[in-house]
Amino acid sequence: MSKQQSTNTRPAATSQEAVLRATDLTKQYSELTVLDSIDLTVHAGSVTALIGPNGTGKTTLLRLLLGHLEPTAGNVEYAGPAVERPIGYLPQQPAFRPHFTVEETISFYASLLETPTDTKELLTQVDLYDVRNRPVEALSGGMTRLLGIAQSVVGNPPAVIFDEPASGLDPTMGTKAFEITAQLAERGTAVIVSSHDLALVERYADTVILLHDKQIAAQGPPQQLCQTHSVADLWEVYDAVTATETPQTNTEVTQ
Amino acid sequence: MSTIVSTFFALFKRELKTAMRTRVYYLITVGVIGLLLALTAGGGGAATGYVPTVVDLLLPLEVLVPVLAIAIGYRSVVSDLERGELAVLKTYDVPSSVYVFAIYAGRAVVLSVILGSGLLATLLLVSFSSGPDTSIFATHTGLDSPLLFARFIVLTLVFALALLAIVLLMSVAAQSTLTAIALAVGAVVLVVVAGDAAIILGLTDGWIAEADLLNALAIAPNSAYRGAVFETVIAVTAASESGYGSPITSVAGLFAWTIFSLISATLILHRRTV
Amino acid sequence: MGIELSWLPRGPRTLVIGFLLVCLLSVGVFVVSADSAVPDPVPFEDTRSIGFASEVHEEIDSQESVPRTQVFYSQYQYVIGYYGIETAAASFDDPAREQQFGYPIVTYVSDYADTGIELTAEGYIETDRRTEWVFAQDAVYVVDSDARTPAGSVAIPFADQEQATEFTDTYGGEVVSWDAFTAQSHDVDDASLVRDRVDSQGDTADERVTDRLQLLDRPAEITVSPDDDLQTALDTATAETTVVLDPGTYEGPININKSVTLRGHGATVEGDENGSVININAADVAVDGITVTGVGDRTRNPDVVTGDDDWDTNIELGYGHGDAAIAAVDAPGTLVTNVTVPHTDANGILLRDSNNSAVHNVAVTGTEVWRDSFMGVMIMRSSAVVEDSQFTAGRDGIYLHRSPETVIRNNDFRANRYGVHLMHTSDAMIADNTFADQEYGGVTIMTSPSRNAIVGNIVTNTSNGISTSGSYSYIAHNVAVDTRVGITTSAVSSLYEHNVVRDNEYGMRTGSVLATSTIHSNDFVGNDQHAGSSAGPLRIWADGTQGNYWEGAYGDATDGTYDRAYSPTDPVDGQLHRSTARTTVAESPVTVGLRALQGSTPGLRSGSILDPYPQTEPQNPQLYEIAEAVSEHGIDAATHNTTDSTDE
Repeated sequence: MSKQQSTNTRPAATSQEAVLRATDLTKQYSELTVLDSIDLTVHAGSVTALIGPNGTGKTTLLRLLLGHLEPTAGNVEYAGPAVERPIGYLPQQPAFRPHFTVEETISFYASLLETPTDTKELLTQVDLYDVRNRPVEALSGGMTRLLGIAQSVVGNPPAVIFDEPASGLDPTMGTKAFEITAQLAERGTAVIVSSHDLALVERYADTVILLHDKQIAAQGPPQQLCQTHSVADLWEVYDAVTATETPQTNTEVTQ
Repeated sequence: MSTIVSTFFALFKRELKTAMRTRVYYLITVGVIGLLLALTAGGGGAATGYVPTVVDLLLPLEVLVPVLAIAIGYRSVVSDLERGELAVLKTYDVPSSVYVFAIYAGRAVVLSVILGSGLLATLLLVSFSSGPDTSIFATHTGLDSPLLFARFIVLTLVFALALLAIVLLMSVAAQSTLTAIALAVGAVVLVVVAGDAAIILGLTDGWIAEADLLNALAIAPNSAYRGAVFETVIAVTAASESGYGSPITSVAGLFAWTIFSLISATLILHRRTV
Repeated sequence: MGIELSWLPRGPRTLVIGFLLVCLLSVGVFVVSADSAVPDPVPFEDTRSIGFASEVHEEIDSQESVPRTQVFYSQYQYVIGYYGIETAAASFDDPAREQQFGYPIVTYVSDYADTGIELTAEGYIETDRRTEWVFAQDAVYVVDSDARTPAGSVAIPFADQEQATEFTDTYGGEVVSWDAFTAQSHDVDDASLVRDRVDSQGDTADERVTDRLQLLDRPAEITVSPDDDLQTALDTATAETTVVLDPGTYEGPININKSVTLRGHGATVEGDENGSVININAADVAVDGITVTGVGDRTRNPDVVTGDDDWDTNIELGYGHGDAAIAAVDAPGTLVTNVTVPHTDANGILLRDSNNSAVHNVAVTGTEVWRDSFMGVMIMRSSAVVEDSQFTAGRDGIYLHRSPETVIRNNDFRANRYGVHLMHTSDAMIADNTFADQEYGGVTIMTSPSRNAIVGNIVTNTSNGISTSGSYSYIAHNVAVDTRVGITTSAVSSLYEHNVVRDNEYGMRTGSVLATSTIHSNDFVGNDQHAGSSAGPLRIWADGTQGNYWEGAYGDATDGTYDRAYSPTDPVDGQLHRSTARTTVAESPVTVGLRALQGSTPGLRSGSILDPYPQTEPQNPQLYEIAEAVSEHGIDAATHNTTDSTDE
């Protein structure tokens, strides 16, 4: 399944179950508050994109959602099915142990789980099957990213978090990465993506969360955000929201 | 439970595979074998027996083993950390303890193989080259025997593995590879030098009594090692001498260093990635 | 890419089992006792044996005449055999032995049960059957019985208590266990006893000479002139008188068959170059002041040699029957004084079976090519005193064969093959002599005798200065300068102290496999190599905390001793006195660290020497100066007052 349109034509998210729920999430480092009372729900089978200027705490929020960071206040709750591996993770610069082949690397991660994984199928899905015997240090940037994606879905976790999956990639590869996020969502996975590539976000995201000034400045499907701010695309929404000095309360548009 | 076991072995195997694919380790092995053989042949101990060879190798090994432990161990955790792989591993629900112990086990095997090869090569050299000086008179080997050398090998490996645990602890505490090696070197030097210095100081100032000396010696890893070797290997051939060091306390001390370091590493790692 | 692990068995179970096996093995090597299986006894001739001089071996009919012990030590690769159980027991208490060899793993003794043992009239042991080896603890010991060997009384082991008691019923003594036996203290000869003997032996020699010189006081009865027939005069002379010769030349050969003194200052007795010139066949004969020439050139008598006996017997028979200027045979109490033998193609003076003789102030010159003549003084089976004499060229200056307790002192030896040559002679003393330009060596001792004293001699410009062998000997206060090897320390259980070796190729060299001698308080200066050793265990050259002075040694000094041990055989240490740069090498941490441990397990090491307490100053200032003078100006710069100087 591939996307031809430039606008989001995916059906609006219906009552899919919540997989991750953040309630009143706050993170503070000594004097500095990074996140202030964030409420957020991630649903199965959807792509949730996290956007916002650098330093607004996107990575912090992701780490909180992953459970790798303790919130100062509030909590993060995993509400999905009880599985071995609840959340998969694609870090911003995926790197793998050198001297191992692509297949060996994936097999290693698979071996950390009880449930068997069909590594062949996994590699095929990310178009890496042909290079399965190549050492990872010989992969191009794009292929490494693809391998990272493959790693993140080992064991079919109900939720996956991609940290800037398109960054540093050429447009084709970047699109491919987001394609995969859509495919995953189609299969029911809750995908959380953070990105600076607003065009791709616009095309593939079901929900966009705009982080600004310690809070969620805007949240909702891309089309609706455009409508709400009376602008044509997400850039405008972005500018509109980040231009305001004092943040208003969450303008959450409910369906 | 079985997940933990299989996770452990998955990580352990990965460490071993990595080591086998690191060319530098082969060079190090050759170097260690060469160095030990040279020390043995040069000291003249080879031609006369196992125990004199132990005597000749003891001091150089006190220097070599820490260096080896650092070389094999300093990158242990920190390279995974730098790569960001620790965060990824956490999503597979790999407990910090399993991770630390698996890494340690893998490196321990590598260190044991490198050091063990050198020492076995030495054993072979001695067994082939040692013989009586003349054939005119009847000879026997006295109490010299490969068994004593085997004890020496075991003690050396126990010493090496204790140091490796300390190095691993430093590696976990470090934020980068550079810091890791600096910390590792610093810790080993501290433990090796300060241990002896503390004992000497304690004896001089009086807060280590003569009766406690044996126990004090067991505290610092290198003096524990030295004392145990003297007591169980060298002193066996000497005329009913003993009191060089309590071997059981020494080995217990070395084990304590190992366990303590590994547990601390686990705790630090656990706090780190949360 | 490396080695693949695909062959490793998948199951973690296998790895765990392997790991457990390794752990078990590791613990196992500590639990298993490191004592090797007790070794079986070896033939006694294969042991490195101590306890008897070789000449005593000759007198024993068979091995069974002497109870023997063999010990396997924990730290020593050779099996040590002891003649006499007492010798072994004495060594167990010796702390130096412990340090060198470790402790005894097993001790075997020769068991006299069921051997039909009997004692001869002298108390020597005779058996019908050979002895077997038994564990020392399994035997009982008969002590204080009539049993003896040429070396003294001995204890006899029996594995059967009844037979031991039977033995004591016949021959006396009492039966004790091994523990009781070793608990007793055992008086064994050792070299320090020889040291104590030096003064008294000198006194005894003085007495002998004084006593013999009384022969010169005999009343002069006959005066002979060159026209007279000397032999007739001698035949007619009364015993206990002096026959005086007027200056001039007299025809020899002559025979002296009575106890007379022959005096002839300025007289020459000329032989016919066929046989000995003056033959002495009676006791208490003195020859004074004569010059003797025309000696025959037969250096040994092949007719006497039977040919079937061993090497030793042939020498004994052959050598003792050569020609001489003065030959005393079966002539105890002979005195030769103020005699000159300006040239001899055989011996100068021959003493055979002539105990209590004295040779005083004689000069003998042999041939330049040593093979062409023989000994200055040939002493066979005679105890003698030879003093104040000059021996030049020829084969050996003085040759001793089975002549125990002989004293050789204050003589000067030049250009011989050997200056003094001892064979099968124990309890002798060689003191205050000077040796120079010998082709082979100054003093050489062969055939492993015991309890010889070599003191106060000065040797220079020869190959082997003082070459020792045997056991329980005392070598002290000697000076060796400009030789190839100054002093060899090959005698076992001996004492080498207060010698100065200077400017030699090797100061001292040791060739013995048994490192049981004590070497301390010697000065080593200016040698190419201060000391060298052959294969054998590490030698520790010190007495307690008293080592030697080594030029080039260094370290932090405390009370005259360096804290840093010195090893003359170490390639770095051994050359420290040649270059200060080497000190830098010696100070490298690895070298320093290594040598701290090198003193341990000496018995298992090979071929080196260590002095743990090197002295900061020369130990023998007076001898040091003499050595220096001799080195610069030759032997004549030395003065003869060495033994009296107490360089402690």
